[in-house]
Amino acid sequence: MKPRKKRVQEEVNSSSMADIAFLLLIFFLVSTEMPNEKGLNFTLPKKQDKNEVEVVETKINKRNVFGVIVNSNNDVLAKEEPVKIEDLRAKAIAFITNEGKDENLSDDPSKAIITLRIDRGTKYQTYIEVQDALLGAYNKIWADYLGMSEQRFLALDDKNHEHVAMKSRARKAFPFLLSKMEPNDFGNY
Amino acid sequence: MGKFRTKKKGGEGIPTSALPDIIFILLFFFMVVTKMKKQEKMVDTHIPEATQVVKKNEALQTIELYIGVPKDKGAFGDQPVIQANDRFITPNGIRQFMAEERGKLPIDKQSPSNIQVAIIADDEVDMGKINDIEKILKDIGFRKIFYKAAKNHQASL
Repeated sequence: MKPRKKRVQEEVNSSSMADIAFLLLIFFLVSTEMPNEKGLNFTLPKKQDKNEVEVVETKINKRNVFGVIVNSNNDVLAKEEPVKIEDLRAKAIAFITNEGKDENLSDDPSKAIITLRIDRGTKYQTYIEVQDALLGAYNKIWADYLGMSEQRFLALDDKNHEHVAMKSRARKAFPFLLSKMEPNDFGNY
Repeated sequence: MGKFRTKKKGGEGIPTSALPDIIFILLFFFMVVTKMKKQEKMVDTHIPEATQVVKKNEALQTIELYIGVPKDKGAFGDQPVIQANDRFITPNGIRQFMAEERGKLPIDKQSPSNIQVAIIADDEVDMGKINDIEKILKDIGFRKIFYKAAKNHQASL
């Protein structure tokens, strides 16, 4: 009878596995970051063509312009009146959805233009707050038009065709007419 | 004579045989939910807060510009600067930078309508600087801007 072979269980030594895993873990902790990409989208106005005839008398009724100016003291002026940033959103909503009721405010949402001028020296935080208030005004109006809550409107996905269609429907009823002006261009108004 | 039974020594303590598994689970978690840092931040950016924040549009290509005070104030001064891909540039350098970055993208995604510029700026930065940057971006046709901001939970919606 042959002597029975001793079964040798050659296992990989796994005592250092924890150390290896720790090293990998620490590498990933150091070299990666949490994707926290949230913020405000904005589209800049088109570049003015120099060949275009410059003096185009646009007949914009004064009531249809909601001029917002922020100066270097971080003061906000809307429709030539000083306002607090907290009140800006409500004022913008009243302006856009006026539909001709108040004679100082817009006569139609499709004509209601908001212009924004930010002076040199303004803090970025103030600008973001003003931008936030004005975007918030539009978001509120669009959300109301679609009959949904603001949170739901903000959560609409750009990759979902239905959601994009809904957004464009709201934008058609209440076009987004927010224009950022260069500080020195504002003198024309 | 009665003997006192000495307590057996605790010996091993916590069993560590499951430790590698636990660490591996942690590792996989981090591998899945995080992504590689694109560049090392050389400026301090405490991003502003806003209520209307939305997720960044991932369908568009993103080019990032950091604006803030340099971390190494001794070497680079205490005035806000623009950081683009591990170097500091002047507002006019944005033209060249954007052209270079655009060249790195796939050919079918090089049109400015497919590209958004993410402005990651400190909330104390002067808007004059941002205005300058935006003017140049407008001039070269990149009109889609994404201002990175944190969700403000305190302000009521």
